[in-house]
Amino acid sequence: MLEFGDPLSDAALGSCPPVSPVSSMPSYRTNQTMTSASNPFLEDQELLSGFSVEAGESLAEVESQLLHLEEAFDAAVVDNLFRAIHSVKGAAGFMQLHSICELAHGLEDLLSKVRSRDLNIDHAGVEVLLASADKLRDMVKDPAANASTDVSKFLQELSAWEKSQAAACDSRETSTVVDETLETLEKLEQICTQPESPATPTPEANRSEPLKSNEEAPVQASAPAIVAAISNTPPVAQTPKAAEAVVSPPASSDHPSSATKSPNTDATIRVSVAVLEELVNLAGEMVLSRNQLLRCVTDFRSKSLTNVATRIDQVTTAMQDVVMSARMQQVGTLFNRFPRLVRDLNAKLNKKCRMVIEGADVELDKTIIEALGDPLTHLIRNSLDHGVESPNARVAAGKPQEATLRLSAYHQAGKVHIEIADDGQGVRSEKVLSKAIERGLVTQHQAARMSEREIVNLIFMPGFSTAETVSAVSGRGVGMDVVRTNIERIGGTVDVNSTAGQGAIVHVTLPLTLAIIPSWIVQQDAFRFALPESSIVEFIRLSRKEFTERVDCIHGAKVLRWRDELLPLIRLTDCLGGAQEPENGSCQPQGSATNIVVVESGKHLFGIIVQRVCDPEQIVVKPIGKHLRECGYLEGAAVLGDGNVAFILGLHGIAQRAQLSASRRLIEMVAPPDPIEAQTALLFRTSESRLAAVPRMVIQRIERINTPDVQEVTGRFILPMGDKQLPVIRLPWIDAVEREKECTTAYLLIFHLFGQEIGLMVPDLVDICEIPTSVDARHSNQEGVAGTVLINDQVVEVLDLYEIADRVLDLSKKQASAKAGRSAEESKAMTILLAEDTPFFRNQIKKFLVESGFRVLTANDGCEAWELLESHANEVNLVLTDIEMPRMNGYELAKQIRQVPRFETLPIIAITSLHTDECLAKGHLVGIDDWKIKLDRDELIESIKLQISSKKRVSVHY
Amino acid sequence: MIANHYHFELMTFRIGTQLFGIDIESIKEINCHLKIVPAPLPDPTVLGVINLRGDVLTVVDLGNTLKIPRSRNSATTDKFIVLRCDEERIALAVEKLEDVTSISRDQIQPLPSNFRSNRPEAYKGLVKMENEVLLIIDAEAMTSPAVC
Repeated sequence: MLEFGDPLSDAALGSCPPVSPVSSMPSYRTNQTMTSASNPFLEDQELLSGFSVEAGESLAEVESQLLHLEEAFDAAVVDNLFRAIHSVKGAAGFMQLHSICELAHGLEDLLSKVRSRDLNIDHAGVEVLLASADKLRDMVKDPAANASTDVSKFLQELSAWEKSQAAACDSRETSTVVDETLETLEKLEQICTQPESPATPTPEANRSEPLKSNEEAPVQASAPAIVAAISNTPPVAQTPKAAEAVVSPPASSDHPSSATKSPNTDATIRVSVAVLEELVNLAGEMVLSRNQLLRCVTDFRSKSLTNVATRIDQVTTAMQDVVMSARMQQVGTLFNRFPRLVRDLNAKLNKKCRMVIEGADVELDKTIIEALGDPLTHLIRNSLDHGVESPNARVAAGKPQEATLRLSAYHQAGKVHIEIADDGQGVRSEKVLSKAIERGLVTQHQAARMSEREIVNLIFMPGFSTAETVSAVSGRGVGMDVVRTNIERIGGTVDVNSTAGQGAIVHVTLPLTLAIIPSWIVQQDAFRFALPESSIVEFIRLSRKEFTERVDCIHGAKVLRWRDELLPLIRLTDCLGGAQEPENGSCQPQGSATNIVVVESGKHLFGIIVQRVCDPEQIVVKPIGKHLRECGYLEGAAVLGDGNVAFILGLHGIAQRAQLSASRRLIEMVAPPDPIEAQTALLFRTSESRLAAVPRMVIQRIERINTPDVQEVTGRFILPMGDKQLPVIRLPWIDAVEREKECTTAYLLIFHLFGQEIGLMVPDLVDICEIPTSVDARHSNQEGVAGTVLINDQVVEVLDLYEIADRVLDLSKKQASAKAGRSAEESKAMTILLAEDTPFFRNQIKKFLVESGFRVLTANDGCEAWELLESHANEVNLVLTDIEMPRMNGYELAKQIRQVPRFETLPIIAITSLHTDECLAKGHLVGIDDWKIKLDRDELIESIKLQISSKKRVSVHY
Repeated sequence: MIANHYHFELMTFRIGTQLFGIDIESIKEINCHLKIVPAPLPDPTVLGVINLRGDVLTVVDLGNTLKIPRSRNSATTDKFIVLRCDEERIALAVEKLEDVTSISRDQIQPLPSNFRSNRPEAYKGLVKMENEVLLIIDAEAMTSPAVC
């Protein structure tokens, strides 16, 4: 690049403005002012990008070499460094990129002194050099924009350090002189390399002179300048040393191809990534065509043809391998940035950590390497910030003061594994767990079943950060889940394994390439879909019987009982446009078995019901057109081995289409404690404008039926179900709507009445929702309607199923009256104290009880109940109490009752809309005998009778 | 105006009985022997995709897009006109390929005021032929999905 051998002449010197010998840099400034008016090179994009790439390559190793120097002086390394900076300087000078040239010069200048051992490189020196080298690398990335960036700050830093070092030096005078000599020489050299410089009269003559063999030559050549510079220097003995120092750099840069680069550099050419990608694509096509060809050839049974085909087969396979390997890069290109990162972090965090890199020669697809930078940086930061202890803490724990962070890459089972292992304190699982529970990422219940490894891996959950204080280095709470997302995006996985006190290992597995994705092909209707293997959790195949056992329907939404949790299920066919009406309600399996693919994608975990699971296949992803992308659930296509096309299913789009709420957490089968009193109700339409609700707890299950299946027998309706007959209630005012719509399907809400199943037929279900308990009973002019509530400003009638059933079904009415008669006898003179704050429930329950022949005293809250109990102490046989009440709640009431000796055996039944184990335990503690659901009439009355009779026996016994 | 700008060539084809033309400049190739793979889409104008030498191309049913009834003889297999466009290539499925016709720009007439179409932007104009009218299709409009 720079040819120091270029002649120097008086003419050349003459053309250069006089240079101040005091400052070390201004020689370049003068050049700059000379030519900065217009730089023709900035116009030439090709030249600029060529410079950028080349300079970038030259500088790539600078950082690691500087770090190496910090540990030990190595003349060879200094030489390399010098050459790298020097070639950048030369090229920048030629391109008239003055700022870059200036900075490179400053660096080169220092390095030359380091090389001649005039300066001793120390920690601060490396710091300064690193900062400048970083700046230089940034600048060469976009040379045009940085043509005149101000680099004086860096130059000042460099010279400041130089001065401080020089001050420590004994022969200060000498070195200054040498510096100046160097400066002058550099300047001369720079002038000579300007191609447009007129001073090239006899190039051949000078070039032919072997520089190394005759070190006098350049000294002679620059004699006037040197003489001028050293004229005031007493110790002449220093001059040869100075000359030597000057000579060697140009000598090496004179043969750049042999000295600075490895011999095989000549054997490589630059190819644009786009061309390479196209090649990969075509190679993929070639493979597919070959597969088809081979299939045809076997049909022909021609020997010569078979031979050719075999040859093509082999060549194609080889070609594919070669093309794929062309995209590969050594992971070392990425790893090399991390020693610097660790060094900087050590300084920032006051830690001592050594980095060991293993397997830097492992090759990975270029795209993957690019995508891996950020996640790995984050993981290393995390290790240093959270994992590695401070030196003192390490010594206290009996570990070596200096921690070791091992970054290794290796091949295994067709995948590339990267491990980041530190010997720090490890991930503290109890801390992770408590944080996760606190953040609501897992419930106590789930936590109890988690393994150590599972707990540690909670750190990858969105919204998790254990850092007690947010530090500048890591712990912003968004880190680890982003790491996981990024790694998963390139088809990899990440996992932490930690041993408390001994360190943590973060394990990243990556596919070799992104161009080919291992996938499973599934079929649905006429379509074939490819599901990337990385997003599949497992396959489940349910027989008809298992399906009915394990799949539940909640208002048309299917859920699978899956490892103690409920997994949302969606039918693929429902999600695809152009398919038939989504068959929402049916909970019946289709065909003899159901195939479910459990998939995980970002926020969603769900099961997809597909028709058929075909084979696993390595697919080459093809982009698809706008029309297809628009739907949101197709992400690409793949040409399968048989030439057919499969679509790559976008799980996110599917989840959206199925309207899955964005929650990764599964619904736990145990209902969470729900202290707020609310009633869940099923909403359905009774006519175009009217909605009705029935309490959810009363309904045992919901069935979807075909209306013609319901048979009429003497005015009553029966639905044959297996060998049983299910009495069906049809509401007269609903019937009218139904007939109008000519529905052929309907839903049966099945509930129990006197131990018998009864179905209420409704045309369609609207929703399941929480209804307010403030039921207004005033407007219930229709029989069977308990009252009305407002839901979203719409009046909804709350039905009293028992009343409807009693009225509609003659038989059950007879039974009911017979039973009620008996009950009335049994419960003669029995008085029940009912404490319930909600008027609707109070009235409903009171109605049940009175119908069953009990006398009922009602109270609006615990306090009132207590007063009533005290005033009617001898009459009350049983207390029926709500839990959530104002002034005094059910627990307090029970506790107070039990404190009075004479009420010790008084039966107390709690009535709730929902109860949990926790409530039961608490209730048991304060003396509640039984728990019942508010509107479950039969159960409640049975329980009352049981409690009264057993308590009677107990009291008799005493 | 330069002559070769003045005249241009149209690839003509039929859907049902209607004659259409597309500027030959926007056509990349014509292919008749490809199997359509249906696509799971709600959009009825997309017939599916074809595998054209390893590239997956969307097949747009021109008849359905423009609501032009097809001929009763449904046995005729579709021909694909592969359009070249800035961003992507798509294939137009048409019923019967005709000829390449050269026309001059001044032959193109605007559509009559009583012409109604669900996709008016799809037409560049019409040309009066001997016995019938040729509708010129805008290739650009075909490559963007219908605004629903």
